[in-house]
Amino acid sequence: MQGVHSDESVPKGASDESVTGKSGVPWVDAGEDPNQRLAMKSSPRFLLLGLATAIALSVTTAEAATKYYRLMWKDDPATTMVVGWTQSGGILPAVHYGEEDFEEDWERYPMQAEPEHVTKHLDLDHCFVRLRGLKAATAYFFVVRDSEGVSERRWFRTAAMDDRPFALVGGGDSRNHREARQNANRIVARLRPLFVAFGGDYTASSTKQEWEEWFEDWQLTVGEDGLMVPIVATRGNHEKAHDVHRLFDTAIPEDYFALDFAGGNFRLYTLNSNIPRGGGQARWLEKDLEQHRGIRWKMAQYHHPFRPHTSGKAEQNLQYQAWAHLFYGHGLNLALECDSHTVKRTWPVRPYRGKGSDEGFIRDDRFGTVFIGEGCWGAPLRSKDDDKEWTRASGLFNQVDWIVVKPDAITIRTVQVDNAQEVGSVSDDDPFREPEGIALWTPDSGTEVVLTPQALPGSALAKVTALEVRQPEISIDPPVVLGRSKVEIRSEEIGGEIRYTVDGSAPGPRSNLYEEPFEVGGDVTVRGALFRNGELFSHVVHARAVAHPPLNPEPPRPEAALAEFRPVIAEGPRRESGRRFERRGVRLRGEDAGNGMLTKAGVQLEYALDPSMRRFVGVVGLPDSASRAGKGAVSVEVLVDGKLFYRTPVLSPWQIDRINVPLPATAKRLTVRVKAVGEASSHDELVWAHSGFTKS
Amino acid sequence: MAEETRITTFSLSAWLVRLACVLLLAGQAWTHLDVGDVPLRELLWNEEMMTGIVHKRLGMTWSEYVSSPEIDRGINRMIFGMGVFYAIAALFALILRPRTVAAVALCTATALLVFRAWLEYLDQARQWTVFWEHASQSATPLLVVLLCILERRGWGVQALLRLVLAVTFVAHGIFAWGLSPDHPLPWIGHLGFDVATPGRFVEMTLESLDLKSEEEALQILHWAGLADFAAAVLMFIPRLWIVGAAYMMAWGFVTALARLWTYFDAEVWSETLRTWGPEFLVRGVHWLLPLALLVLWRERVRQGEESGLLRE
Repeated sequence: MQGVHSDESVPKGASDESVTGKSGVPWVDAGEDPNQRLAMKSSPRFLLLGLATAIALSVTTAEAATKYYRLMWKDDPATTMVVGWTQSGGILPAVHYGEEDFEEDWERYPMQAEPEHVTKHLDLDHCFVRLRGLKAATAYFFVVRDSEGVSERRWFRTAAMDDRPFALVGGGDSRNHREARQNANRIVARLRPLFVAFGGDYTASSTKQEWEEWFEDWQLTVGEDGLMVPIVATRGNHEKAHDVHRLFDTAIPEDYFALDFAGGNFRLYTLNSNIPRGGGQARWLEKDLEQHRGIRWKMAQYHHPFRPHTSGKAEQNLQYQAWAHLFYGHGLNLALECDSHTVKRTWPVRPYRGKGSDEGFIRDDRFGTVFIGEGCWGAPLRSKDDDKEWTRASGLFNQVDWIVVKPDAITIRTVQVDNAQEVGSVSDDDPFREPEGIALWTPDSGTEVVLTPQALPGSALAKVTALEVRQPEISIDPPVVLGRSKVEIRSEEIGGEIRYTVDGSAPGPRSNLYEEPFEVGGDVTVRGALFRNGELFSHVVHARAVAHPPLNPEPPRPEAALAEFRPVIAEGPRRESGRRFERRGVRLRGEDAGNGMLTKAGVQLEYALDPSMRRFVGVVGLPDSASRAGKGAVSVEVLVDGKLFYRTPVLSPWQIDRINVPLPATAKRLTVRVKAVGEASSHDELVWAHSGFTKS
Repeated sequence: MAEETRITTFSLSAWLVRLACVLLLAGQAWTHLDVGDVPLRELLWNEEMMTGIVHKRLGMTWSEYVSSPEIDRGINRMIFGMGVFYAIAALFALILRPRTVAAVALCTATALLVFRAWLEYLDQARQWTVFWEHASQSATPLLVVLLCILERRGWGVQALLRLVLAVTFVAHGIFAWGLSPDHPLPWIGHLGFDVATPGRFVEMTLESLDLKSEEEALQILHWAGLADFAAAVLMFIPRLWIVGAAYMMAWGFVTALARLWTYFDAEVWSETLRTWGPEFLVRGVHWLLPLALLVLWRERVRQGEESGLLRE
């Protein structure tokens, strides 16, 4: 680092980590050698340099020792701007700027700012001045002045705070075809967009030489009048972990962030497909999408396509799992993908793996996301040999996407860049009209892709039933509530959210949000439905929980199990005497029935009693397996010496009863009858759990 | 090599190395013939390296060259051809007959794998760690030649086995531990390295262990990196190398399986298997070679053929 700054250039209060870097030295990034910098402060050589500087500053005609200019945003595009460059010599650089153009007369600019952040990366010194408090939709002119002289005058525009139309240019992959890269950059200068969304893979190997060439070429994006176009930089797989953050001063080192445009009506998500797509990034994305649910336009850019349109690239299934449902569920309109070095446009699609889908997506013109790409900003072209059912058009040429955002529509045009030098410039009076000589891609499916806002007022269930929406399902387990029952609502639809009520009323967009199974008690009707973008997206489905009738007190456990006794008389459809089971997984209301017995409905069994048997006890009910099949009901009668001693209520699925019958000392016979009720048949079985005789 | 002895082709250690080699070459063949996601273009489309050749040999401008569908198809054919070669080499590793032809094929496979490792280096922003990470894979066909065709298992072969495993694990450890200025240990930043833990490593750890945060995954990876370094060092310490080899075997298997475990998706099983099946196969080397080393040692001990260097 060759003395680009002094401590005085640190703005007051600039002590946050993003400013200080992890080295702990003010505004020195982790990639820099702070010792060298600090040593210069106190060395005689530094003092001499300062003297030389004073002399040099009096010379205003010389060029500043700066190069590789670029503009970025870390924060609100309407009120901030990061001016970045590479310092090749000299010291004490500062940006002098203002709303009025004073050409290179730096002294007349009313405001100045010194670099707030400096990185030494790839053996180059990168300076970043973070301008704040700017006016929205305003032109700012600036020069950089250092000890060597003054730079050329350049200017930029801040974003608007209202939803006035704007344009952006999207694309990526600019490695290994420099001529095409330069042409793409020239097209940016001609189209004069508000910004460039760049999807990564800037250079082949991320070497110093390659990056110097890239930045040199990037200067071609500067208009003839000095207009600079900010870049919103994405990381590709050809960048090392810290390249993008150190070279473009991105918001966070992980390189995923979001920016608002058009007064908050357009939100651009920059994602990083080279770090875990799930985890913290997905959590952040979901939270941010949720917080900005009402925004009209949402666009994402990232490097790896979910489904590449060239066969030699791997499908990104983990990315699909992490992001696809978030995109769809939160109404992402547009996604810019790169990496494959080919050209594609898709129809609006949503994640779906059922019939009619292709590679996990299905066309959904109403709520789907349009994917464009896949990276031809100056990269060798690869065969487009992997179209999908939902591919709208694909091609093979050097291109960028020209995207115009208006309140009622987003229009996408794909510009072939090879003739860039013959293309005229857009007029500032009509900045969205095609300039003279521009070569637009004209596939059979149309030159333009037009997107309309998804959540149009008035859309309701009537409009969406035409779609094959898979209805949600509610299950209550057990449906007859003895204590608490678990309610689970499932939806095979990806995206959207389930809202429910437990009071029988129809669910609305503000009803309870279903996140995980919950419990209910007593008579309850649960109604649920799928909502998307705050609107009903499925039928309202419901399930009912019924309170279990009051139960007898729990009887004591038998000392002699009923299953141990052989009945003296067995009557019934098949004269069955009951099947004994021993912990074979027979369950009664979700609990293991223990040692017990199964009898068919319609069976009557008679047992001989001995005087030591003082009490007949047991828990009876239909086995859970039968209950789920929705079979009929049974009741049980207990007779002692032919006289009815106890009758259970009708036992429907999930209902049980507890039997506790005292046996007279003189009793000789015990009879049990299992009576079928309603639709029950001899195939229905009754579980005798913990049933038998006690001796006390 | 006076102490070198001959073993039969069917000794377990030789069989394990052969198995590793067959899996490796079959995995490479699968990748080349099916998906074709091979970084050959990193060289053939490298403007800096290839411009002169393209001008002189093909008489094309660079722009014509990189925009030509014919050239792209030609590269695909080259990748396919390499896949065919890998498949044949896998067959030779399996049958080892005729011996001379098999030896030539396997030595060529090693050369091709070294080339592949260099392509990966180009693809991964010229990080040398990537090249050295492939040391075990590159050496495996050569080891088959030494063990199964030339039938040697002396200290030379063992030393080569240990060396390539150590190199692979050191490289892997550097990635897992991370040697970048942003490392949690500040002094790492002053070493001058800039090799961050790859996002895919973190992703695999995060997903396969169902962790809540990247920080947890990084912590695990940092420890794994240290263990990799330790295992590599242990490989050259008498007796303790057994511990190192056992660790490598276990960790090599886990990291190979992690690819399938993390990325396999039953709903699109054929698609994920196409991508991650070969990745699992080629990493068979990372656990089968340490296992072979241990078995080789047992075989030698059992035969009472301890040499001065191998008296462990």
